[in-house]
Formats: sequence, structure tokens, C-alpha cells
Amino acid sequence: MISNLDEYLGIDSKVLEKALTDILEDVDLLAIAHNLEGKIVYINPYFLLLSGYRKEEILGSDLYSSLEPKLQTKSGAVVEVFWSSTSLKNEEGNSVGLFSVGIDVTVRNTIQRLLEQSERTLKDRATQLEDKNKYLEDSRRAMFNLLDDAKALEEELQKEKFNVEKIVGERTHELKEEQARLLASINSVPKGLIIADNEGKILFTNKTVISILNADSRLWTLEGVQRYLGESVDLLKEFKRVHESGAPSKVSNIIFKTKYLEVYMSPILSNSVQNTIGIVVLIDDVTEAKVLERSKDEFFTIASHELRTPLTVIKGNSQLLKDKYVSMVSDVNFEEIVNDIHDSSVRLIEMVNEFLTTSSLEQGKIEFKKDKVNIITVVNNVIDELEITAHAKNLYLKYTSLKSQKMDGLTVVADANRVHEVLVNLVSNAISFTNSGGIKIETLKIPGMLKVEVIDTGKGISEKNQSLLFRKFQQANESLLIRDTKRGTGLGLYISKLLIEGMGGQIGLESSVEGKGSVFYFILPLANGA
Amino acid sequence: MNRLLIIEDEAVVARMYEKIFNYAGFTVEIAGDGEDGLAKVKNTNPDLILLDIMMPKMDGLKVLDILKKDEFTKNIPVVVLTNLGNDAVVTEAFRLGATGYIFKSGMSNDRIVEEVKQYLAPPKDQVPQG
Repeated sequence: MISNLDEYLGIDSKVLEKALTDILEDVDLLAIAHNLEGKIVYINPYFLLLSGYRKEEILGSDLYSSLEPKLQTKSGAVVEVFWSSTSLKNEEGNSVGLFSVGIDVTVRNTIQRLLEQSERTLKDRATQLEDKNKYLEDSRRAMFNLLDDAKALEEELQKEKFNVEKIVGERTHELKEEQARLLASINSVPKGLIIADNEGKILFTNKTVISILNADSRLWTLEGVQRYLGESVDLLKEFKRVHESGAPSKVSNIIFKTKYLEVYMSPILSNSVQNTIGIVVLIDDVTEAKVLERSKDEFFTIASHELRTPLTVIKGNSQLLKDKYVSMVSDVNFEEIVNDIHDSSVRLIEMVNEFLTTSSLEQGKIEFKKDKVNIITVVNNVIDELEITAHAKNLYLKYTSLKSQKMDGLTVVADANRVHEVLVNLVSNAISFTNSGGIKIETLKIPGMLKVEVIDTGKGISEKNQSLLFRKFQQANESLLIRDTKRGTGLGLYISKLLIEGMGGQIGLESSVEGKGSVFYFILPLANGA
Repeated sequence: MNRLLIIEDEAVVARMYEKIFNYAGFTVEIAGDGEDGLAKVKNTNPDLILLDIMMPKMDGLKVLDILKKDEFTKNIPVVVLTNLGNDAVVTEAFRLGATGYIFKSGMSNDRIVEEVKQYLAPPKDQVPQG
């Protein structure tokens, strides 16, 4: 190699050798030369220092014969070396040994490793971060999704809420209108209205209550109302009764100061709850109606009474004319005139008497005797009385009783005159409405009672008119404009009803077939309860 | 001939009864009110008294009570004239001693005469005098 250098550089090989040796002695490179036996023949100072051996120990030794990338110092430390070797040749070109130069790369490699480690760590970190980032990203996305969902949900809710609010608003409006209408109605009703809860606490009163009671402040409880009413009515007792029974009640004829009152109570029942949830109290001021009713009754009585005296005089005197003077006058019209006056006065008196009887019955002024009355006697008397009228129309009028009945068992507890009156009325009606056939009276026992039936073969009563029977001033005519002047006031059956009911019985229409006839009946309690 | 005293405040009614009973053969005296009636009963000594219930000043029941408490008049039959056939007044009249009643507007002339004849006491020989 030296010779080559000579060759190339043209410099004295000795000079070059010296320079190289100096460099090798000075430079921070590891330089070593081995002979063919592998013994160290040269080692530069840097290598010697690094190895930790002394020069005598290392020269001629076979230490470091194979140049590993890692060599061990005497102290055991490992030094990393990057080697470069070249063969040492003599002048003949034969290999005499090996010259190696090495660079201590321990630091570099350490740094390299550290760098690599750092890089790896960084990479790991980066990966971790990436993972974390990814996780965060996922979370974020999930959160956004959630938020989106929530937002959509919220929007939907908002929309729903708006709809609900709209509907509620509409309903509320409707309810308010309804309430206003109801309130206006309730307030304008001329009856006092109180709504109370189960404890008697007042939830609502209308103005009429205040004016009826002449109350000076708001009413809070039924006790408060009771204080105003005083002893005229026990409102609280009624309240308790209605509350417990769940059934409505009515108290009439309450005299409160100068007023007549009627109190109605009705429980408020809820659909969902079986129990009452409160109570409605209606206080009706019936003073006007009472006064009107009384003056009507009084008018009825007085008018009828005052009418009777002159009518009696007309009737009596026309009778006298008939009896004593008609025969004295030759003009036949005279008799007719006198008869008409007389008959009309009789009819008029009968009507007035019916009015008065009705009025007395309605006012409860008529007392009924409770005699033992043999119904056969009454029936026979009535037949005797009306036989002529029936026969005049060619109708039969007869009594039949079931054979199993003992005649002496047909005794009722009643007022004989009143039973007679009723039977006369029923039979007279039957005769009036029958043109062929006749009238049959039948008696039959039912438990504790005796039933008397008046069976005719007359024209019957239409279904529509059946409901009008037994009502005041009602005649079974098709129209109000058709007046059967023969049949009086239309009070007959009404009076009969009042009379029979006054004696503890019942009266009614058993059946009626148009064109075939009708069956009227009345029932009276049997004597001895037989 | 039977003597009749009619105590009735309504003149038209009284006059009518007077005629009816005159035709039936009675002698009739009329009194326009209770006091007049009580005075006339002493003067005329009637066989029967027809007494209206509803009268001003003194009502028929009061008159009846006085008549029945008086030794001189208590045996004279009194028939009350009434408007309603079955009311409390009639019951009270019977309690006070009335012999019968006539339902004024509900009876024919003949019927009234019949009723009165029925109530007439047998021919009176033993009517206390003075």
C-alpha cells in the first residue's frame, strides 16, 4: 500500500509513513495491526487507552484477533466499533498481516438507539394519541349523533308541545265559553243554586241564592246557609240524608220569613267514582206561585159560591113556572122557553158544584168517612138510578159477579156517597159513549182489595186520548175545538180519581179498543182485609 | 096548616122558598137575619124552621145554638140550608141539634118539600106555651 502511495503521490514514502504514523498516534480512531498469526503487532494510543490494557499486555497477544462490531475493554465495558480493514503486503506482494482502523460508534449508536427509542416512543405515543384521538373522534361523533337525535327529539317535542298547546288552548277557550254560558245560565235562573262538596263547603252559589236568603255576604258553608234559614228547614239533616243515600230529595212548604220555599237536593255522582263527590242544592222561591195558587183557589171558591145563589133562584123559580104557570099559557113556545131556562140553570149549577168539589178535594178540605160499604148495594142503587137513561138508548145495564164470590164478602172500607158518585160517573160516561150493546158492572176480589169494573160496548178511546183521561178539564175529544156540550166540564173523571184516591184506592182505564168498547175500573180496600 | 119560619138573608132565595112552600100548603114567615129570626120564632111559634148558615151579623150555627138552648124553642125541628152537602158545617149543625139539612142548589123544589115534610114533628098538642 505504501508503495502504491509512493506511486500515486510521488512523495517520499518515509515522509508519508511518518505522517500516517503521527496521525495514527494522534487521531481519535482505533488502529490495530495483526500478523498472519493473528498476534497484535501494532496498536495506536487511542485504542490502547480505550482497551484499558497496558502496551506490553496487548502487543504480541491475540486479543481482538477477530474484529467484532462490539469489543470488550479490560474493565468489561463494551465498545461499539465500525471497522475497516486492509491487508498488509510486503514488497513481493505477499500478505504479511492485517491493518484495521475502527471508529468508536458507541456514542453514535447509543444516540442512534436513543433516537430510535425516542422515535419509537414518539411513534407509540403518536399511535396512542391517534387511538385516543380516534376514540375521541368516535365519542365526539357519537355525541354529535346523540345531540342530533336529541335536537330532533326536541324539535319534535316542541312541535308536539305546540300542537298540544294549541289544542289545549282551543279546548280551554271552548271550556271557558261553555263555562261562561253555563255561568250566565245559572246566574239568570230564577232558582237559587248551591254546589257544595262532601263536607258541606260551598263551591259555588248563584246570585239568586243571595237574594232569596237576603244574605249580606258570601256563603262559605251549608251551615252558613242554615243560619239564614233558621228553623224553617233542617238543611244539614237533608244534606246528610242525600249524601248517605245517594238519592235526591225535595222539601216543600218551607215558610221562610214572608216567603214560601222549596229545596231540592241532588248528589253529584262522578262517572269514575261510585260515591257522591258533592251535592247540588236548589232553592226555589215559590211565593208567587203559592200566592197565585191560593188566590186561584179562593177565586174558585168565592166565585162558585156567589154564582150558586142566583142560579138556585133561577132554577127554583123556573121550576115553579113549569109547575104552576106553563099550563096557564096557551103559546107552546112558553113551555119550551121555561124548560130551557130551567135545564140550563140545572146544568150550570152542576158545573159550579163540580168546580167546587174539585177545589175542595184539591185543597184536602173534604173528609172521607171510613164506613163498611157493601158494594152490591151501591151497584144496585146506581143501576136503579141510571137504568132509565140506559134503556132510553136501548142499552142493557147489568151487574154480574163471579159465582165463587160470596155476596156478603163484598164489603169495602169507604165513603158510600163517594163510591156512589164515582160509579155514577163511570156508568154515565159509559152510557154516553155507547150506542149499541150495553154496560156491565163486574166485581172481583184481588188480595186485600175489591175491584169494580165498568165494561161497555161503546166506541172506545184512541190511544192518543187515553193519556188525557183522569186529567183536569180533559175530555176524550180529538180536538180542543170539538166541544161535547152534553158532557159538562171535563172534571168528572178527575173528580172520580181524587175521590177514589182519597179513599185509599186506585182508578184507571183497564183497556180500550176503538169500536169495541172500554173497561174502566176502581179498586178499594176490602173490609177486614178479607 | 103547617107553619114555617125561613131565616134567610138572601131575599130572592127566601121569597122563592116562600112560594114553593105556599104552593105546598105551608104558612110561611120570613126573617132576614138571625136576630130577626130569634124574635119571630117567639111570635109565630113555627112547626119547623129553615135556617140559612151563611148570614151576616149572626151566623146560622149561632142562631141554632141559641134556639136549642131555649126551653121554649128547643123542640122545634130546625133544617139547615147549606151549599155543600158534606162539609164540617153540617156536622157541627147536627152536633148542635139540627134535624136535617137541605142542599140548596142540589135539590129540586119537590125534593125540598118532601124533605121538610119528613122532618116535621107530629101534630103538636103539647108544645109548651109562653
